[in-house]
Order: sequence, then C-alpha cells, then structure tokens
Amino acid sequence: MSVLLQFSLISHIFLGLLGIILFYAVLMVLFKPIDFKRIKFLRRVSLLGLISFLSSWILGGYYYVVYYGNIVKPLIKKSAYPWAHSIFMEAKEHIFLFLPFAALVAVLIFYILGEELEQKQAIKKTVIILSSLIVILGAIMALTGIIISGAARLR
Amino acid sequence: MENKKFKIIHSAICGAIAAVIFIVAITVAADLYLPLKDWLKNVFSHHWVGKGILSLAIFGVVCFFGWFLPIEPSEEKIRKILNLLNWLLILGTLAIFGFFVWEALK
Repeated sequence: MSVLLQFSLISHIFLGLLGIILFYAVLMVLFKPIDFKRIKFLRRVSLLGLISFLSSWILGGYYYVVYYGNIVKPLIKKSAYPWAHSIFMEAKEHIFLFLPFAALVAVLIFYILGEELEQKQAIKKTVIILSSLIVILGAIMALTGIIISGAARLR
Repeated sequence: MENKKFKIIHSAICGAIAAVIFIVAITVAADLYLPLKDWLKNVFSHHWVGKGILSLAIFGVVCFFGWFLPIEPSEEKIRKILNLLNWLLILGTLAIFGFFVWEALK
C-alpha cells in the first residue's frame, strides 16, 4: 500500500473519531443552559465536527475506491468472514452518507438561532436527539470499521 | 427576521430529509436493479461516488426550492420536521442494515 493510501486510511479513522468526539462534546453542552459563551463553543465545535466528517468522507472514499474495492474486498469475500464486507462494509459505506447532512443541520441551527435556542426549548430538545443520533451513528461506523479491519487481518 | 431564520433552517432540514430518503432508495434500488448500479459506475467512475455526489445535489436542490415553498415555518413546524429527520435517520439505518442482512442471507 502506498504512503498516500496509508495516510488516507489513518486520517479517515482519525477524523471520523474526532467528529464523534466533537459531537459528543456538543451533546454534553446542549444539556446545560445556552448562554453567549456556550453558543460560541457549540458553533465552533459543531463546525469542526462537520469538517471532520467531510474530510473523513473524502479520505475514506479515496482509500475505498482506489484500494479497498480492488485489493481488500476480494480477500474478505474469499475468507471465512465474507459477511464482514457483504453486511458491515456495505451498510457502513451507505449509512456514513447520512452523517454530513445531519451534522450540517446541527451547525446551521447553532449559527442561525444562536442564544435564542435556549428560549426555543422544543427545538433544543430535538437538536439534542439529533446530536445523540450523530454520536450513535458515528460510533456504529467506528465499530463496523473495527469488524471489517478485523476480518481483513484474520483472513 | 425570525421568520427568515426559520425558513433557512426549514429548507436545510428539508434538504437533509430528501438526501436521507434518496440514499436509502438508491442503495436498495441499485443493488436490486443492476443497470442502475452500472449507470452510476459509468457516469461517476464508482457507484458509491455517484450516490454521494447525487445526494449532495439533491440536498442542494431541495434546500433551494424549499426556500420558495409557500409555508410560514414556526418553532413548532421546525420541531416537527426535525423530529421527522431524526426518525428517518433511525429508520434509514435500520433499513440499510436490514437490506444487506437480507441480501447476505438469501
């Protein structure tokens, strides 16, 4: 594997995990009353989370299209664990596409509503659910990634 | 001013909802109807790249046209449509996982 592909794979994992951590931080702050300081934090951290997911998408996509599909996928499919690709990779590569859109909605709400979010409790509660789903889906993506790389190592 | 803020948020949520529905639909359709998968490969070099680009395009188009929808978004309407997005994220995840489990077992 070339250095560029190694860099893409490692960065994809790192940035994906970073995105999850950042949205977890967003979620924790959302449970507190939103003031000027906290909305500033929510805006910056959620934007960084969105950028992390978008970067992870591009880098993971490059690795997937150039290397995984041609080299790793056939090996996993011929191994004792073909389900690691046919179920987990197939699901991961498509469910991942939800994350940037969900994250973008959260970012826009923080930037547009700002501190008003505290007065709009109905919206705040649904943003808490949205942020929780981003963290949960991100964690599912990370876990499926572990299953796939495990299958590639054990083949 | 508040109405304008709500309208931008409403349009973005509509775009995200359309993108999530599209991703689920094209994922299932392209696996069941191979000419669609081949078309995605031919046009975008890889079916997954095609799904990503098309979902971004659908998000953009629906956001744009969502702005012109003759509705007055309120706090309650934003809550309802955001709840719909949350449910679609859950159901979309289950649908995609379920579909690939079914495909692997059949």
